[in-house]
Amino acid sequence: MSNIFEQWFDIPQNTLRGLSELGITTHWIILQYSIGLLTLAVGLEIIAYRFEDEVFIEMSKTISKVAVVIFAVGAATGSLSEFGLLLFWPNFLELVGKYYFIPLYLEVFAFFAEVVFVYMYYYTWEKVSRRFHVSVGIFALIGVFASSLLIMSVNTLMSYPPGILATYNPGTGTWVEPQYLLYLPEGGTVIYTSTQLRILIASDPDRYHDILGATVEKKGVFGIVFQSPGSLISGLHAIFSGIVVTIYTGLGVYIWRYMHAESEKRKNYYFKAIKVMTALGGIFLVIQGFIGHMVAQNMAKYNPEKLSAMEGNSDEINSFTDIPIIDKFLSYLAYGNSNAKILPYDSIPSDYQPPLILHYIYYSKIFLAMILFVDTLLLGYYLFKRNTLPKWLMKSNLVVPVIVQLISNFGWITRELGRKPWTIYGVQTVDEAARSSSLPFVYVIGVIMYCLGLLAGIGSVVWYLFRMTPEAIEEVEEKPERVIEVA
Amino acid sequence: MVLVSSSLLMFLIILTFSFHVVLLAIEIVLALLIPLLIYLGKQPQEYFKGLIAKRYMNYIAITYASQQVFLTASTVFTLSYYPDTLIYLGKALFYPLGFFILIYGFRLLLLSSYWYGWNRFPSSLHHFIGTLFAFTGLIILYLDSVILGFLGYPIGVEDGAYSFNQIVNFLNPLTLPLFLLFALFAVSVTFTILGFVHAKRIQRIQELEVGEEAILGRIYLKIASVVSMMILPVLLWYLISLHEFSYYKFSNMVGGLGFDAEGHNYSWLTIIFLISYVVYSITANRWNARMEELHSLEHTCEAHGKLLITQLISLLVSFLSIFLLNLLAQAPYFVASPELVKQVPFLDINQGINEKAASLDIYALTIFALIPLMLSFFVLLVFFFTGVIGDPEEDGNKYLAGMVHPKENASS
Repeated sequence: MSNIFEQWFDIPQNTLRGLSELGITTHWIILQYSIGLLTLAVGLEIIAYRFEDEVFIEMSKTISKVAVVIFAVGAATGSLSEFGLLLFWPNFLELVGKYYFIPLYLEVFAFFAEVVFVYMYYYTWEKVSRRFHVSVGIFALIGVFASSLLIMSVNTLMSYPPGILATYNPGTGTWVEPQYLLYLPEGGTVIYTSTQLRILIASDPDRYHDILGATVEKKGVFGIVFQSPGSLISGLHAIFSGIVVTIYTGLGVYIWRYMHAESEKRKNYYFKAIKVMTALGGIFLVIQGFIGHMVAQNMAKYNPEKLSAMEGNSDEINSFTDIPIIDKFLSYLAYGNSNAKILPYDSIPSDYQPPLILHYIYYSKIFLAMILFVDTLLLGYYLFKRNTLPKWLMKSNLVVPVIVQLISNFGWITRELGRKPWTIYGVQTVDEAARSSSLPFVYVIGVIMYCLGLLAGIGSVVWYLFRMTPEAIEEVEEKPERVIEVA
Repeated sequence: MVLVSSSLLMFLIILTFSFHVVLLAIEIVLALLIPLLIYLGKQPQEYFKGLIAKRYMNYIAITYASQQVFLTASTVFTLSYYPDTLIYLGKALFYPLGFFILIYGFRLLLLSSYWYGWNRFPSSLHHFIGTLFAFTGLIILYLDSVILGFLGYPIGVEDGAYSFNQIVNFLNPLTLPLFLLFALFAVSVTFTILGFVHAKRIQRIQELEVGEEAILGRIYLKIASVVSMMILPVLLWYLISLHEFSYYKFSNMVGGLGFDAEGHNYSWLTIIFLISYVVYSITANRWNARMEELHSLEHTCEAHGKLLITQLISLLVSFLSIFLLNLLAQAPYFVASPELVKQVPFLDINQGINEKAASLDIYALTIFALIPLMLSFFVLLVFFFTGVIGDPEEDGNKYLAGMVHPKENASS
């Protein structure tokens, strides 16, 4: 086997994959805040009214203000990702448009509800009754969550195409080709292996489309998507990811503000906000861990190749599967049985092998998540037991927003890369999904330079804004004749 | 399975795309206005212009996000009802769509910098960002015109209809008149809406601000009526270009008005446009005359409120009717070229339908969901623009750095 980097780059359509990855990562980074900020704003407002606490109200209001433009930006990156799919992966999108359109279709309404209620929520602060305002917030949340679940159902479908069967037997540890139960137009069912299905697609595409059409007909346009294994749990994983990332980003920002605040009033406010974020972070991190575990169990059942690569169960590399007892523990986690066998990576045919670099990406994520967990425990100890925050802990927590984004993005890369070399697992390869003609070199270089410029621009804006102290911001709003000065 | 007719499917696609363009137009003009108002707001006694600029920024936030929703809706409806067509158009318009993506991405950075940099960035940088935001909005409008131009005159299609020279899309002779037409409508519609909004707000606000709102309202309505006069010559240019390059579309627009329609006759939309445009011109003229007499937006509004409403409605109807006319006039095809449709049959709206998506139950669900959402959206817009709801921070002391409040100015 070639080295793990070569193996990664051996997957076809590097350019298109790279550009898509860049676009979808940007969308994902922003989207998480769209989900999390609104959840936090509404949640804190409910808590505020329950406990009659003004600090929660101020936090909620500030967060909802940030959410307004983040939402608009997230909406735009969503449109961009959609156009990216159209331009780079037309054959995949054509299949989605013909058979699995319903989540995208319904998402239009969820998106619509979002735009109406997110703005209504922000612009009706203190203009309507509390109860009405919270209700509007809840409607906005329904829109946001529905959008996430619907989009994730399409993504799940790429990993678990309609009709996929759980054919891997963890007792034997022998690789079995993916199989799909499909319905025939003339009645009855048929089980195709991946190879058989692909031969059919190549030799008689009309027949394949008829069979797919009959399957959609039988299961219904809604059922074909939402009955896909792991659809709901993957959606929840994405939603909780958004919430966790937002909470820890908020934590980092509040700590920064606390460190730079001068007045006692602001310090007290930020200290309380840090406490709230730490408590929420701990709770949601644990829930997210459990959901992630369920996602992994589902994957172990239907896509054992991915689990094999993630665990690095290969003679080529060292991994935890080489260590006695730990390998049993990993088997127990995946299959609920310590004697179960994780599929040996080297026994998988190369056409079905995800790149082994996945192992390092996945464990980087786990390692960082554990650091985050320990950090949360430490913060909790100092904040709630000692009612103080040491300077070293504050300083070290300024990088928490970056760490939590890394965890989330490593998770996303694991999900996407683990399906390769397939765009739709066992059905459509990356090559088959892509546009037929290659992109001109100038275009690629231009797009890369553009993306780098965009990232530099975003970095500069964030850097500039964070150079100002909280007092400087307040001052400039209260004493308008002063020229802005950065700290 | 009961199928819905292609006209109803097209109705949804066109409806959502039209709203995208109208909202985009408003957003662009607002983006052009804000830097100007901020600049004026820093002059002595012009404090409220800065406040109004901040309010417009909130308008941008809402129009920016909502036009994305309508764009997504029109794309998803096309993908679901006509998957092959959308994929084909994606290939044919690769470069315009590619640029569209790049400019959209850039605008994200600009919008967020503009929003979060309010009161935080040096004013020259903030102005620059605002101007760039407006300028990139114009590019988006131009790219929309390139795409619509292709539908009117499919330039760049080569070798059996499945090979494309996408660069020449930018040289489409229909693009420039279309772009100018949209830009002129964008300015006149947005200024009329803003004039209407200011006139309505006068009834709700404190006396100190009435003067400023009234001055802006008057100026906007005046500008709208002047700009709208330029629409007719540009429309004529567009029609001449169509006559030369896309006679099929031209004949459908003016069938029965001295020409024979080669496809579907949509001259009724042309007539609606002409009537609404004439109504607008008359009411705008009368409004301006009354305004000259009374010298007050408030009083003109009280005495001739109906004139203002008629102005607004007739202009919106003329914009929508010309826009719909332009989209529909190639019917029953997606592109106004019967020769191309012969080679690519799914470009006929009756041919490439995805029957699974065109079922009656899904359509009924769509209408059932869309009506309350659209109604809520318009209620939100009306309440928002007329100041019933608004930015919780707009409390009178959140103005721009460097501005001097009139009261403070007087005391100093």
